[in-house]
Amino acid sequence: MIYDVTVIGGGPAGLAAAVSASETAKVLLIEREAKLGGILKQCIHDGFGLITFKEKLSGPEYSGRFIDMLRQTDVHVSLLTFVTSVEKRDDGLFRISLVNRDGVSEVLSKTIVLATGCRERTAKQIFIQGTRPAGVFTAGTAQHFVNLSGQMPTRKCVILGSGDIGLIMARRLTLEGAEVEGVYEVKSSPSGLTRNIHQCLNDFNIPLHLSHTVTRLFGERRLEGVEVARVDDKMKVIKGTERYIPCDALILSVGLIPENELAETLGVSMDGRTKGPAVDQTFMTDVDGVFCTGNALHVNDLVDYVTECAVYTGKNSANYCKTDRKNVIIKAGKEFLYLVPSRLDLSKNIADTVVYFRAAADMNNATLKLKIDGREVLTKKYPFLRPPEMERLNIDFSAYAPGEKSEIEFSIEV
Amino acid sequence: MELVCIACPNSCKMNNDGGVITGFKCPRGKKFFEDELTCPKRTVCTTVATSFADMPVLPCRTSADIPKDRIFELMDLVKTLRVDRRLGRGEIIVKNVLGTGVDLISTADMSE
Repeated sequence: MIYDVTVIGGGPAGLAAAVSASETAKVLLIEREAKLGGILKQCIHDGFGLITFKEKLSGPEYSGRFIDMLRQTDVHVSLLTFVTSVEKRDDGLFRISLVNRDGVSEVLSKTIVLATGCRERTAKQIFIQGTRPAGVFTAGTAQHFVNLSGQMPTRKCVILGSGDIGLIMARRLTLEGAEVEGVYEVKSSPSGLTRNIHQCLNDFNIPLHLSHTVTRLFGERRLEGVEVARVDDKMKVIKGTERYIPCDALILSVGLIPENELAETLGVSMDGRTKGPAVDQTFMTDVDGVFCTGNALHVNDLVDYVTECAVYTGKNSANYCKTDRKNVIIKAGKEFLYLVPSRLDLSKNIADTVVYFRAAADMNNATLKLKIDGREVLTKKYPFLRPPEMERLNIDFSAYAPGEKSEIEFSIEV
Repeated sequence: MELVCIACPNSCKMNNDGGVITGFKCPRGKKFFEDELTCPKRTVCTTVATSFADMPVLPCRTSADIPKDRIFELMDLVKTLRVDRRLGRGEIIVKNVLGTGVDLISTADMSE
């Protein structure tokens, strides 16, 4: 059998993409774990679904609703299954090699949706000096211990990085009786959402130390303490500000990176700013038939945006017909951390384009501008833009009739 | 006084310095500010122990907000509980928990 669409990854992106694609296509959904839901299984806190369902749901409730929807479809779900390789054949079909408890097998598919999510940056990627004892966890690992295994990884900890998972874990560990000495952030502003600073830290009097980092680990078998220090505006440690904190765990919330091992083996071009594949407005990569969505494309702050993007991606992959591409690069200046999509393919529908972006720095009273061939065609005012808070907007590019030689350029003015 | 709304990702910055609450984009923001001044409330999300090896803890939450100053009282109660039946999503674990009028509900399906 040849599938129309094979979705790799059964988290929120993969679930929504599979459900949406199944309306018109024969779909296979591949998940390496025993249960669907991806990271939402361990995100037991609430705040999910305010846009999608107009309700405040916990992670398992949110993914549960999509699993219910999936059960109403004829999507073929393959659990405990790992994709070992994907190869594009000369006839354009993808040969996907799988391994699971039944052994090794292969399936053929017309298109592929990469919904493999993202990974946490680890201790190895932030270069902390000292010994290498047990007790250094990513926030996601600590979350797995507490919320899925019911085991406490710490009695007293320090959290490095103010990403959302770190903030959520500060509250979670406090509720479970651990002492969170403080959250230390190397930047001068928090990385997480403002409301998480309030409901996770302020509610429990957990101090947030901006412009601080962990400089050294102590302990042989188990972590016994860490050294923290203040940093200057170039993130260099200020001598003499070092302070020792006894603790049995260091929890890292220092960023997420799209998971793109498979994309790379397929020869997909990457976007240096998102660290995910470069895509057009249909979320297709530069390899015909390979789509990418959710956190594998760019790290979102809200699952609701992941779902929205995955619904579009699912539809686009299901309706995919090869066209002669007419690509126009979408330029976004330095004032953007990133902007997705990075190109517009004029051979496809450009009317209902969704643009996702983040500002590179905190900005107040900012104006987003879209210029096509030097002509200002769209402006939008924002009272404030913050890098942790992603923005989205719908643009009907067909109204501006861009041509293949057009210059499409976004900018933000303050 | 300045407050940041936690009702949704907009994170509205609100203020009542002029005696009137300003800065909210929706009625939930105004309600949140009023509650914070009178009786701050939060939804509590946690896990409860189970008797099942394949799922040693079950995610759960309060079905609505409870007074913020009772959060740790609730956590103490949850620590004493053990679920010995496979519950579905949304099933009640404790009705009217701590007499708050709010239920403690399961947020995951144990049969999945």
